[in-house]
Amino acid sequence: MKYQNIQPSEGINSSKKNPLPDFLVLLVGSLITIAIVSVFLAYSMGWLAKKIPFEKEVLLTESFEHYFDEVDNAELSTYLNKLVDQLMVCSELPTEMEIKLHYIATDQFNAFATLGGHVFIYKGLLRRLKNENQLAMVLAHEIGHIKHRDPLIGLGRGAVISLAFSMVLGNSPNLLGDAGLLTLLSFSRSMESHSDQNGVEALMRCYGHANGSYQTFELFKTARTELGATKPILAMFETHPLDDDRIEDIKYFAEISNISVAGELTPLPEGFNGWLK
Amino acid sequence: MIVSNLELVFGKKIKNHLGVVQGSSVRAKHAGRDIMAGLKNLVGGELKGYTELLQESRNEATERMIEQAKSMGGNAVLNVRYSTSSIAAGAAEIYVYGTAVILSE
Amino acid sequence: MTAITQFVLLVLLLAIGYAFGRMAEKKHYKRIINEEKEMNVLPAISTRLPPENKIYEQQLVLGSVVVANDYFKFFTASLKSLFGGRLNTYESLLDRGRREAVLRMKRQAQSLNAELVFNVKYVTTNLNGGQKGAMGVLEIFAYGTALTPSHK
Repeated sequence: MKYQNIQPSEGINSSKKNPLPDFLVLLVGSLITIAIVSVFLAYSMGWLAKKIPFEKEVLLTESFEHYFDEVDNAELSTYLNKLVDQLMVCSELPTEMEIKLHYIATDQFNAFATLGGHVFIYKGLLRRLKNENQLAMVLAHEIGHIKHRDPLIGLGRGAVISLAFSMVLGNSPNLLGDAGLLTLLSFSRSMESHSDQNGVEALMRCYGHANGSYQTFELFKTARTELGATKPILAMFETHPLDDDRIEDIKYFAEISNISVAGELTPLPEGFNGWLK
Repeated sequence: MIVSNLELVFGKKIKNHLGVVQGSSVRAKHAGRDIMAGLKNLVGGELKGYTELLQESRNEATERMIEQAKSMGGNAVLNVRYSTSSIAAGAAEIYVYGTAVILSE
Repeated sequence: MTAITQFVLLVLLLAIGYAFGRMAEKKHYKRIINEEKEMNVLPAISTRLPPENKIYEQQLVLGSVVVANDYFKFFTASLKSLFGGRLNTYESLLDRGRREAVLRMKRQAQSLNAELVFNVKYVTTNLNGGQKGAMGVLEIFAYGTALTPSHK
């Protein structure tokens, strides 16, 4: 008997083919799959969020509620809360929903709404407002987010996107896993537009006109230019509609809904700026 | 001591089968090796540190098996087989077993 | 910003993994094939029963290698796990590992002036202990009995 080892042909158990084309096909395929699944789930999130009772959403934030500042100026607090109460009625907020307003005494030019009906407003924004109508517009806009359940939808979408990424990249590398978190508490452009419309309608119901509505966003525009913020390269990457577009949209919405954007403005209460320490 | 994974020994007769003998060794890689391996993991290829670690471990397991065979009075271990299992990340058990026998001319 | 830096890091890791991994693979295959041709004079046989016409000294010979995949292979594999199918990149890694292990075993046999290696067996172990999502680290181990012509 003869024992020998004969060299077998190469490429039977492994291929010498360049894996790059295969990789690209896979990558594009996965991205498309993620996109389709995410879009589907994200849309169903809008439907799902409305099925979750508001009390459950409140429970989510209850545990860290004591971290939130109370408005420490009694006069400011009374005034803001009274205004919020009026706007809740004017926004036709469902009765089970409740807005909890928090004032943050820093110079940021900002206001935002988050889970559980919490709305935050910064001193930097309040200081620049010229009249009550503008303040009402900001608050009604945030109330609009709460009314439409946007924070909950945003949370759901963020979770879905995180999930989609972790599905593809596996659990170990945290690469791109944070992409979901980025979107966690930001709202889509359509959410912002809807909330703007809620603001216009609420102003109409409370004041009989929507004067002050679009002017609020002119303030945002000037604040942005002052801060030297660079213009976003592509509008689609900016979740807040660009200020100019936004102002146009508000004017257009008011026009088609027969809401006048002219009318007598209500001044801010006397000593308002003095309350902002 | 003849150690082989054949079931016979050339030119000799198996006088007595003494039973299964085994050797086992569990080793964990240490941090230094792990860091180098982590770097190597980016570009792939052989992790020499781990190769050596497992070789040492395997030699130790084999030694233990031979020791068992000696204590039983055997002079050969036949039909030897190895297995490796990863117990936890970074720790592996090497296990070797065979049949201890007494050979006669 | 963090998302952008992470994305850049990911692309960089993939590029490094691909470039170095592929270069190393080509080099490795070239070496394996050359050495295999050289080592074919010492046949490794996986049958259990050795020749009966000659007397040999026998000794166990071992060869092992721990191989890791590169980042590109790891990433491709996790993408592939969505769709299934043949994982070419892992196949070549295992193929290289097995052949390298046998070469090492044969070299040990060669140092014993062996003529044949009999009853060759392979053991493949994933050293990551079932850690989920961890990159592949594998040990491939080959062993057999080296037969050296007896002069007794």
